[in-house]
Amino acid sequence: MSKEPPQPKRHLPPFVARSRPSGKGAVVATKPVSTGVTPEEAQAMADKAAQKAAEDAAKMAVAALLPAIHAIQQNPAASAVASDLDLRIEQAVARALGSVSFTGPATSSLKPTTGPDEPLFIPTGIVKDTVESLTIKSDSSKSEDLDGAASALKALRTGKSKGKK
Amino acid sequence: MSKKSAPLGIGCDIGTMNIVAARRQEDGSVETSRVRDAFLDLDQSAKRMLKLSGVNYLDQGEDGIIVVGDAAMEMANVFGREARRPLSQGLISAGEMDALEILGVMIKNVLGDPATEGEACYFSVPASPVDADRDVVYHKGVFERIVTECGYTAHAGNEAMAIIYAETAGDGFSGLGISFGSGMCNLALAVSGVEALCFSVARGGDWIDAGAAKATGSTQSRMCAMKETGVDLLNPEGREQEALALYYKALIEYCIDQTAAEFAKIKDRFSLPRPIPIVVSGGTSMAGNFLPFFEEVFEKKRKKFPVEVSEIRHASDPMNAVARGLLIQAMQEHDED
Repeated sequence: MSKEPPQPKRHLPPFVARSRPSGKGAVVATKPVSTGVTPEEAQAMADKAAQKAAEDAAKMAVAALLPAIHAIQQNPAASAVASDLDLRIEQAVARALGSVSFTGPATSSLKPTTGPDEPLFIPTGIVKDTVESLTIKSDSSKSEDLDGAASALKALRTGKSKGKK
Repeated sequence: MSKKSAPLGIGCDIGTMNIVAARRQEDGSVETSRVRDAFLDLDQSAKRMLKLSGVNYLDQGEDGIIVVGDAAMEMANVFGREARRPLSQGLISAGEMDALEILGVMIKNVLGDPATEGEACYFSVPASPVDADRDVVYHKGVFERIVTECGYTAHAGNEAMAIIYAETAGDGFSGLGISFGSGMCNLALAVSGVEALCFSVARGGDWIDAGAAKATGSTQSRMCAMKETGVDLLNPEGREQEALALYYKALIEYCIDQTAAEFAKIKDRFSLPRPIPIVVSGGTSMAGNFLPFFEEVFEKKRKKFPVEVSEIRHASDPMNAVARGLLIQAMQEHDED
């Protein structure tokens, strides 16, 4: 039986290579926070890192936009530059934010700040004292089925509660 | 002779397409009030035209005017706009803060004033969808607040269980209730009034409209109008109606498959003593020949369906079945032994 020739080494896409420990991609992740920090310390570290990331992003966005701003200052009538300024700002900020990496505590004793059991913000005074009248479609129907169902449900629930006793 | 007073309690079905309230009257009948769950914001310049046409609107001063309910859908067509919907896929979005006040106006109008202080109001809440990363916590909290601010004692009731209470008394409150709504489909399996399984899928009438519109190059509102004016699912005419029938079939199959999958999770700790009925309800089930169409689709899946089904039937009042089921529960709150 003849042995098949060795397969040429498959080239991995750059993002796969970077994701491996031996990959040559730049390591952007910061050193994870060591365990044993208090929640307050971890929160302070997170705030500091977030602030730094935001400052870096803002600097990058400004740097990307400076040529366009200079062009407008030199020639205010250049509408071609000004017309796509919104888009350029958006793209610059998106690029800047996309380059920011932030690694939170690897293991943290912090509780999640929001969760299904926590109260959510629901405003009060949704229903005003004086409410405008709307056109409402009304219909009337017999209630025999409804009466029968209500009686049967009551009997069922009474029976169950008696059964429990 | 003393006048007999109406029993206390009110049911309110808060859906993506309609808000319906049901209340017993003094003569013993059940009155249902309905408003379309939609609104349209227009400039002040439209005020004159709306006054002439007799359309109700909310004046927001410099912010313009807001047309609410059925008129919003009609005006949207006139102005070539899409009416805004406070609910999306059965649930209120945390980002739709503008819609809260309008929802408050709509609910206050369909509920009216409570007959007595703290009268019980059961309002519908969908079950959490099994196919979307959304929960009902915020939704439930918002409507609890609105109903309370209307002067009622608010109780949340599951939408599909309300169908069980309204439609399966003759079966000992055992059955599979399916509410085919606009934003989602709600399903509940109950035995002797006990909820065994409750879930929803984030697909409904809107999903059918969107899918059929995309398939035929038409618009979602055109598909919705076609659906509401009458489409015979067993005899669709033309490619648009055929597309609608195709998406209806896909939705029914999806609901049946999801029920089977969800039931498989509880089958070891649950047994059904006898075959149960399937009761279908909701605005999306109002399409022509929906019931035989459903039966046809179900028959192909019956062998693999884990629950023995005695019959498949339509709710006696599909548009109001949920509100009636909630009313039954609300009346129980005031029922003195």
